[in-house]
Amino acid sequence: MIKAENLSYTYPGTDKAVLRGLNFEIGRGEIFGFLGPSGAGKSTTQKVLYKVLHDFQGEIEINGRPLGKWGKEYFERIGVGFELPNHYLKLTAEENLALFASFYNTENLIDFDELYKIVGLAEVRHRRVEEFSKGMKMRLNFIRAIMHDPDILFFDEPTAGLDPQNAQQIKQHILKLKSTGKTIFLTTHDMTTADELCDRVSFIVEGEICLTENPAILKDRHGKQQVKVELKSGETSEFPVAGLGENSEFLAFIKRGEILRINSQEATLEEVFIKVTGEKLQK
Amino acid sequence: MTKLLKQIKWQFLIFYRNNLIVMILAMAVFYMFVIYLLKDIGNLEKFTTLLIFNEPTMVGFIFIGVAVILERDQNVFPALFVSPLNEHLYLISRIVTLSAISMICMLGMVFVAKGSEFQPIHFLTGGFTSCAIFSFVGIYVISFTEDILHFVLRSIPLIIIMSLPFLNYFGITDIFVFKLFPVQGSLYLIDNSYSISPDSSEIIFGYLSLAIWLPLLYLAAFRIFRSGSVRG
Repeated sequence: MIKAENLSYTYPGTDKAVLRGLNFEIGRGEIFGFLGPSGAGKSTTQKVLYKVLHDFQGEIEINGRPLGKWGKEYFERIGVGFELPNHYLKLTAEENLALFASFYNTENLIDFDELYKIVGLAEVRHRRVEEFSKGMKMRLNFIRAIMHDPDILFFDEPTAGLDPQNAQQIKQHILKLKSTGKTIFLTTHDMTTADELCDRVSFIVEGEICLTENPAILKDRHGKQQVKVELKSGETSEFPVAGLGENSEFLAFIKRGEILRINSQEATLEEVFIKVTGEKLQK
Repeated sequence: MTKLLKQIKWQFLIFYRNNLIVMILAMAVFYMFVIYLLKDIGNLEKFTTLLIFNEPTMVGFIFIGVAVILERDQNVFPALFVSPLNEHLYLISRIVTLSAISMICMLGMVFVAKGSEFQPIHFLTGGFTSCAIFSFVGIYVISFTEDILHFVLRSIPLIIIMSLPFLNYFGITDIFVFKLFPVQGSLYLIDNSYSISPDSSEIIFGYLSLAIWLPLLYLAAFRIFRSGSVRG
């Protein structure tokens, strides 16, 4: 659904390219994550894709059609969840949604009552947004992005500013959107969110993609195929996962005392990120 | 048309909730009070015209800027620009809303000054278009400014330049070029709407001038709005 080839972008009036020859493809029903430090080019990539930034180099195709050939109808097909709240503060939540809904084709609009329930704003929908916490505003951002049932969704830090319970709710809903065939492109610093949601992630540093892979494969590739056993006595030891059941040293160790915990030594996505981008930065 | 009316309703609500309508009305009441105090002093018809004309100037120029700055502060533009927003509809609805509010205020002012002795079509057209003209220019200026202070500072010289036709109007100068300024058309219409002896050539010139200037200024405002510069 989204295909970028040799995508480069330089902001007007500057010399340095912010994006340098990016190549990626995001399929229907896929959640694709762009991970990288601030200034890496994550948001710029999204801005190019949702046509706020023009004059890029390279090719971008959306549903097989060059991005430049899409007119206003493109915005009926995409939904954007911004990193920061952006609402008319003096209007109520309900008025904000209705105002933005007035720009869209009404046939595609999802029932607002259903949307408020999804993010727990049903009770406060009549309140002015200026009275909302940042988390409530972010949840309103989320439902505004999906209210017109778009095929392609862009989320920038979708769980930023949310408490764990609401963050979980939003993540669950993003997974639900994926299951209905939506193409989802998210950018985040939050490796846990990326790990939980993304089918594939790209690490982007200084406008270049260092790597694109499935998070589970990455963790597997960069982790140790070992388990770490910790006894209540404080003694610890590591053993290879392969042939663990027949490993006499392992069996002897766990008989030595009461086990406190056994953990796999798989790398976290954050560790992989540091390892990969660290290598990149040392070049 | 229904879409435009819907957008006008939203614009009206945004202005109302941000207390902009209250401010515009308060300004109009102040002007009405000044006109009321001065109307018995003598022949101050031209000064009354200046006051009446000042209302749409301020509303069009300053309040369009305030509205855009409010939207910038609330970070609304990024969300607007990724929606299928029809920029023409958005811009026209905003300017129509402001001009309509301004027109109502001007009606109050002319009633205080002249009672019902004025030609409503010329007067309302003059009022509406002067507000629209200043709104278009206001949109252009706001795209080059970051905050309300900069906007006001940049607006003052431009308002003075745009108001140069008043030098001819008060008989201080008789410079032909001033007659080609965008506000001249509105000025002729307002002035002739309550003149004892309306000059039909001025009225025709007024309508023709507006027919040329309004589309040109609108297109300039539209282009700058579409380019996204108003986002700051």
